[in-house]
Amino acid sequence: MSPEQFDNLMQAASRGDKKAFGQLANTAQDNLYRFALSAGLPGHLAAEAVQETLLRAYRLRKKWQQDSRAMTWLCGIALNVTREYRRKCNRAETGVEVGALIGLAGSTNEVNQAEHAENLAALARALEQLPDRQREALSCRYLRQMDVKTTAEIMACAEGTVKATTAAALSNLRTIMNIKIRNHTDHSNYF
Amino acid sequence: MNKEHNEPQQVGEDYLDLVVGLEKLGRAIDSAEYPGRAWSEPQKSNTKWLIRILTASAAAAVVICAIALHNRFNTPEAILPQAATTLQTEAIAMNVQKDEPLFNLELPANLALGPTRPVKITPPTASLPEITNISPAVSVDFQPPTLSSIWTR
Repeated sequence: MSPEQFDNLMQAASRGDKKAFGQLANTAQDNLYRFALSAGLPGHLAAEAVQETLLRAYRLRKKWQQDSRAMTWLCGIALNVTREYRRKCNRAETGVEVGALIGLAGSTNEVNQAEHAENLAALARALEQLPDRQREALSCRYLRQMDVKTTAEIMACAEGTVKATTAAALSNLRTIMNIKIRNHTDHSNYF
Repeated sequence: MNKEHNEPQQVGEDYLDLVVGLEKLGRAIDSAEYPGRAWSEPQKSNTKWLIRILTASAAAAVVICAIALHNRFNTPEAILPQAATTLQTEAIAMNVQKDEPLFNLELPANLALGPTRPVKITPPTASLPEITNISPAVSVDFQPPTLSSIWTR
């Protein structure tokens, strides 16, 4: 479904069309789930966060303004929800569950798969050590492949702030990951 | 000199590695699908319907009670004293004497009560005598109400 069609559904939903909102929710739930996983929530909490996000969106559907993309608006709500869930749950529980995700993605070579999963898990653990805003910026920009403008809308800040936060996050991440990369024998194939 | 030249290149490679790694992590996340059920209408609407049904039931119960109470106080027993009072008032207004009948009831001549010809009824046992030739003469002793009889109610 194109962003325009998605916006049209949201427009219909904001006028009171409940079926349109149901269709919109069914379309958006996978994206929102991945967004919550990227924010470092474990699978079961990510699924709960999707439910909570959709419920809040349902309550606020009449307040949606057409000058922003519906999916961006939903991700903005999802970001607030994931922040709340991260605050509630134990710090040890958070972090991208790379093992399960790699299993889903599939790989022909089991040795490569294990090594790949280990490296990505190290990266996910390093992400968890970043400050919240920096982690959110990296999550939107690189894990969800969003542009600077969309990330700024979701994080409710200026585009310049997003660029500065992303640069600082990468620098911090490099510092955290530096030792691992240096110790690795074949540097070019680390990830 | 060689070390100084290589350092920025190394930093650049590190960043590139990180970005590539993050994108791979993102692709791994992209393979995940939402495990929950499809969206359905929030339960609030069901609750709303439940509240509506309960309200309607309560309203129906109130109406039924009101009808029952209305019937309780408008039974013939409840209406009779009121009707008697009305009758008395009308009788006084018509200047009817106390023992004078309020109306006369005359049965028409052709309205004979009982059979006009003998009827033979066979009793269930032989010991009982046969009842034959029952008289059609049945008298109706009807006394029309008088004002004094109403007063005594």
